[in-house]
Amino acid sequence: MPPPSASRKFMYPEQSVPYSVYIKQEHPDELFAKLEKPGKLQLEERPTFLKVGALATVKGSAYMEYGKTKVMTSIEPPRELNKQTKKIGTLGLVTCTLKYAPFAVKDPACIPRKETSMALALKKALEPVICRHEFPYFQLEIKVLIIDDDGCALSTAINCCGAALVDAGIATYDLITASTVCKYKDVEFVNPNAVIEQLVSTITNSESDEEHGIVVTASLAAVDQITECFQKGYFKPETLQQLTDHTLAINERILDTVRYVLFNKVKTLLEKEKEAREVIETINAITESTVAE
Amino acid sequence: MEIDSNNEKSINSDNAEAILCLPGQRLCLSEETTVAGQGTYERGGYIYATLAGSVQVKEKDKCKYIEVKCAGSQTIVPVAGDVITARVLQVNQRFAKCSIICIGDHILERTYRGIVRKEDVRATEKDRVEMYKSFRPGDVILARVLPQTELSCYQLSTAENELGVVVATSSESGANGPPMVPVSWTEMQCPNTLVKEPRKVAKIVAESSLKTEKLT
Repeated sequence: MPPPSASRKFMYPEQSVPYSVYIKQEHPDELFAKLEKPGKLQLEERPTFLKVGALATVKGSAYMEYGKTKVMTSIEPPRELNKQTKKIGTLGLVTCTLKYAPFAVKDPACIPRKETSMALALKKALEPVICRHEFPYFQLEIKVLIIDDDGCALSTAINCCGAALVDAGIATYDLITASTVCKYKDVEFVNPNAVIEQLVSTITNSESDEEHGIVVTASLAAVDQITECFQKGYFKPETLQQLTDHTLAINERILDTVRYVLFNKVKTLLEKEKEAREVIETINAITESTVAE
Repeated sequence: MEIDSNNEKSINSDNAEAILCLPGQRLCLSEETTVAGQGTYERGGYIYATLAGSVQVKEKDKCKYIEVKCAGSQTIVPVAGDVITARVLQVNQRFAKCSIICIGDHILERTYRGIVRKEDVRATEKDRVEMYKSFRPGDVILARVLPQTELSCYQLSTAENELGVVVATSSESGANGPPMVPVSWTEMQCPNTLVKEPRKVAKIVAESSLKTEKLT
């Protein structure tokens, strides 16, 4: 029998270290030289797979693959707040817990730091989209598990949560989509992978006069709002604006995928309901006729 | 919004009645006779959807209520005025503790705490109510949610003819015994032992006639 904590925690030796730590570290510049640079700026999303209702045991869930980045989200029914909770308001509380699978990234040491900062950003991005006045005195718990991280983890998590919220039947003002763009040594990377993200975040202070960093933007298309603009690094205002515009363009493209998936889900659900109703009607008709005899 | 209109057309050709929508989709203009109902919100003179499901238009008092019926099960919490189904957990002299299991015909995934105070059990002779003669632990009751004054739990009321105990077993036959049959407003009888027990009995009516009573 597995220990009682097995379902909540990943069972893996805490002291384990991936072999990649012992491999000779390449200089960032060398790494950058090896990197494949985008020849032309293409504002496109990565190949995306989205499945809503992936878990049967929770209220709402979604699984998303964005390139090699894999994210799973689950949402539980609203929970009553404790008496002791001080934050009393007419708006419901949203709590986000984000976990990295231990095998998701190459350097497990950065996981706790990433988890807290991303959970915070995720909460900020999702709060404006949920109709929180419908859950006064309640707490909505959103759980995210990053199974594989090849860059764009935060934006994929936001996309995945948006789909899961709709699956859970929670009232939202709009569909939310997010995307990531990063700039390093004057080259703009759309949907940066893990190597580039690592490069950008490990940049040293001596070269900080150069523009570099990551921008993640979450937006609502129909109401034309930005719910979260997450930026790391140093940009000039013009560059930031340009990069944000690029993320918004990608967001629209991702929205098409999200819409398509959700639309099909609603369609199949309604068809199922219709079929169920027809079955009940025929059963009723049969029983009525036999009773009459 | 182009995609939406395309999708709608394609759906309409398949399924003549249902118009599908996703959250944030603009449904129509908001006017004096066109009101945003459940599952929608109003913003900048338009009505938008907040749920994914089918659009329904309900006409009442010369007004059109635009509503969205959620595909699958919606996530809702009890609100003041809702009729809920609850199971009685604990009874003492002042109140009965219950756990709310259904709102209307919607089964909840997670139960919520609620209490029925002595003065909310029935509408008449409030001072002579005896909790032990109204509810027993294990009873299933219908109750209406009162406006929330305390944060900790929902306050419920059964002070209506249609509200009160719906399913109960006699204390002798235990939880697995047969459900008792109501014999009067205040008594239920066990079909096996013919023992009569006092309860605040609910008059079972169709759900539709119950809902219109107070909410309008």
